[in-house]
Amino acid sequence: MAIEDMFLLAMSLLFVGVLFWAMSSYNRLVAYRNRFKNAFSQIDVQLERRYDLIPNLVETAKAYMKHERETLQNVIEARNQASQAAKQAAAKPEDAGAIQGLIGAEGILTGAMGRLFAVMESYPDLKANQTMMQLSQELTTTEDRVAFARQAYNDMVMTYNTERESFPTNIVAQGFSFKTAQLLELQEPQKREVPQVTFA
Amino acid sequence: MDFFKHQERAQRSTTYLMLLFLLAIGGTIIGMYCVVVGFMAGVEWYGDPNQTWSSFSWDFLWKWDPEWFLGITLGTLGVIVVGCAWKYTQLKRGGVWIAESLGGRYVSPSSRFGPSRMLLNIVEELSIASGIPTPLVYILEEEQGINAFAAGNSPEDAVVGVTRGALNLLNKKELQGVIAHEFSHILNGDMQINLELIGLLGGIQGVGNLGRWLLNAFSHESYPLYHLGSRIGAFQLFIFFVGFSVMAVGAFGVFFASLIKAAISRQREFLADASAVQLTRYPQGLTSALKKIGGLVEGSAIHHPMGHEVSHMFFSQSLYSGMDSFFSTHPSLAKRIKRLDPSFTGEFPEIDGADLKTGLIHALSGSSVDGDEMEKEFTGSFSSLATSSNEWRTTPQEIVNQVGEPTPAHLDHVHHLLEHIPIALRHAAHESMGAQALILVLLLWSKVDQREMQKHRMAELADSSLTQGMLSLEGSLTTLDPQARLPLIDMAIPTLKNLSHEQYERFKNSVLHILPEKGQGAMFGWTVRHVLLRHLEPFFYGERAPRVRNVSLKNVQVHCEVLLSTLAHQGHVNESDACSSFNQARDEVQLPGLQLRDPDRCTLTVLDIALANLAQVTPSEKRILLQGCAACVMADHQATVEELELLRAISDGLGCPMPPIFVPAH
Repeated sequence: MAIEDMFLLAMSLLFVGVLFWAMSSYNRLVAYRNRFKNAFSQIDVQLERRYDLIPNLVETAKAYMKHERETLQNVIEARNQASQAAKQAAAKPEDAGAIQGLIGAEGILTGAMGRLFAVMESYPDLKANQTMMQLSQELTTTEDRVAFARQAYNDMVMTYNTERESFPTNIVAQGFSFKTAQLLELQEPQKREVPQVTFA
Repeated sequence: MDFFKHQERAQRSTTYLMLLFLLAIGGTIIGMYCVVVGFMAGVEWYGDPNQTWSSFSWDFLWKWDPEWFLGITLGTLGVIVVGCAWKYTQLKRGGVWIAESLGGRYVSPSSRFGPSRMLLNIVEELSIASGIPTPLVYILEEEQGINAFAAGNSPEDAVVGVTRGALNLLNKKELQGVIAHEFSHILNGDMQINLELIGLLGGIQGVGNLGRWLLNAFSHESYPLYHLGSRIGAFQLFIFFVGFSVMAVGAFGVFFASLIKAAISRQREFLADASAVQLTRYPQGLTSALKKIGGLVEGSAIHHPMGHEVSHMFFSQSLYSGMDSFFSTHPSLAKRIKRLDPSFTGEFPEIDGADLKTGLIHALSGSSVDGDEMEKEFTGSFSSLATSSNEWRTTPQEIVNQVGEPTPAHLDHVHHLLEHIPIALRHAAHESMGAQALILVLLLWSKVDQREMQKHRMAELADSSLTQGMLSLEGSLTTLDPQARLPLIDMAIPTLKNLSHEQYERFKNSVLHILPEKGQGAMFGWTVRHVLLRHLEPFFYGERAPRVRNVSLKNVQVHCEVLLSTLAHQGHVNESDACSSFNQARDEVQLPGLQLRDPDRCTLTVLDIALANLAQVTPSEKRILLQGCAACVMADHQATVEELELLRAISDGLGCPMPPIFVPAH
């Protein structure tokens, strides 16, 4: 075989190799991205559940809290905002801006809820209300679930981001516009009193 | 034909497929050679100054040109090898990859309302009744036609997908018929053949696909070049041109690939229709779904560009191909309906697009009504179930006959079981934190005497919200039918696939930590561990289940001995009882050399190794082995729920999905 032929062969083998590598990197990035997108659907379901609980909770509180109209109104507004932001984030979890929006809206909602629970301290009747107790128990469970699903989501986003930034996959990532995904970092809702259970 | 025969056929088809594949490669090479040599002759003739029409000679066809032939052969083979290798790397991800590349949207198991819940429920019920792990569910949101698919390397990584059109236009029973059709593809081993087809044909079609890919590169979001397209206009035109030429060159491969695909796929469809009807005992559901496809302008079309490659995996013809041609991957609708309903006149009801919206409402309101109706239909004729340590007489053959052949009675049984699971537990199984709490609490409960101590160990291991979750479920457990425990765990498996790697590791450690080793609950513990690891480990770590080889039982006698001894000891505390049931099993498998092992020599690790080895045994011998296991369990005509669960887990470990065991009334 002539030397040129050998060279040609080597080059084409190299080309095929590079092509393969690029395609498998691309595939891996897509796979990781899909995983965290799927994980968001778990958070979304729980967030929705939380947004459904809040108006009920406010309705129950209204009967007792005659002079706290503003606090209650704030909660409802924050809840509507957050619900809207969650819808946008669920449509495109890979969009860092949408997730940022959700983080912001959730922060406001958690603040408003915190104030509501703080005010509630001065209404012992309300605290003892059966419906209220059930609702706040349910809310705590839902928040725990959100926290858990969020952990899974963040783990997967980390895996994706690490892969996206590591050399040489980052070349492929840049070429095909794989954007950095945003971690969903929410401030933990204040721990409320829930019936504490200890193991003997 | 039973399950084991189907498995053997699936193995044989692979050989047949390889043969066709080689023929197709030969055909492609010869075709390419003719085209290239013809092209050369044409160029020579065109360059000749005294060219006339008659001076063109066809001699080139008979002039053997070994150098060109060698070059073309090597080139074609190279492309095929690269194409196949490429496809196989993608197929390693199994069903998930296919669903995602078709543009499927993952349906979270925690969806509680609407058509997605209805779909999840149908899939759940059918999978538990067939004894296979509940597949992940995807919806092809962009597709308005009525179609569905099942894909995966094995039942473990199967996914089920339906189009948006199917979800909107079909009612519960129709959808159930369609999904049951897909499940029979899973059980009959068609799914694996389908994936192998994609891999092999990916090679032959390689050049053509590359061409089509380039042609479409800017047309669909799923293509990487789509994002570049808007920037460079001339570049786009150039890519179009290159795409077109490459596609023309690859036409031969595509031609042969389509032929093979159609030939393998078409005959499987009638069978899947028949099994679907056998399972749901309601031919009208499937028939009316097929009629709706016929009446819909969209039909069962799939528009996603990937649809081309996987056309043979769908419920109904996804590409237009005229009436019934060599290239049809599916028999015509009329033929399929006629087989199910001989009175069919060939007239389809007209369904127009506006129904898409009303259909949604119809499906929603219809679901509850249909559910009630179905229950009315189902109660009665069957349902004498194996309750805990109930005395019954059935032969090992009868039990093993049920493998891979779920019947309407199984479906009723499961429907009834699931219906009576406390709602709190059902919700927990569908939500990732709850699913973990549920499994842990089920394990704790299996060991009555040491529950408190176990709880203590648990509290050290898990975080507080998880223990909180466990406590909230504890109350509901008292009303849980023991038979529903394993189905609950089956329900939780797709949910657990939502964990991150880190969370899965932590969960696995907790499970292994509280697993009772001996005594009460140990059998259930092993079963749960086995089911979890077998279905989750491949998902998180990409390990594949051992492949079936043609190993005969005689060559793996040691492992056989371990398996049967363990079963004998688990069922009987008494040494002599264990011995007699072991002997019955030995007679069943016809291996007189087997000796009952000491209980100490039947540890769980040994059992794991034994199962991994036995999974490679050829299907017909697996049948014998399973009959041996069943004989062992039933030797004393007493079988507890735990023993039956263990038997099912073992069967599952051997790659033979066994429906929940119950005994038909005589």
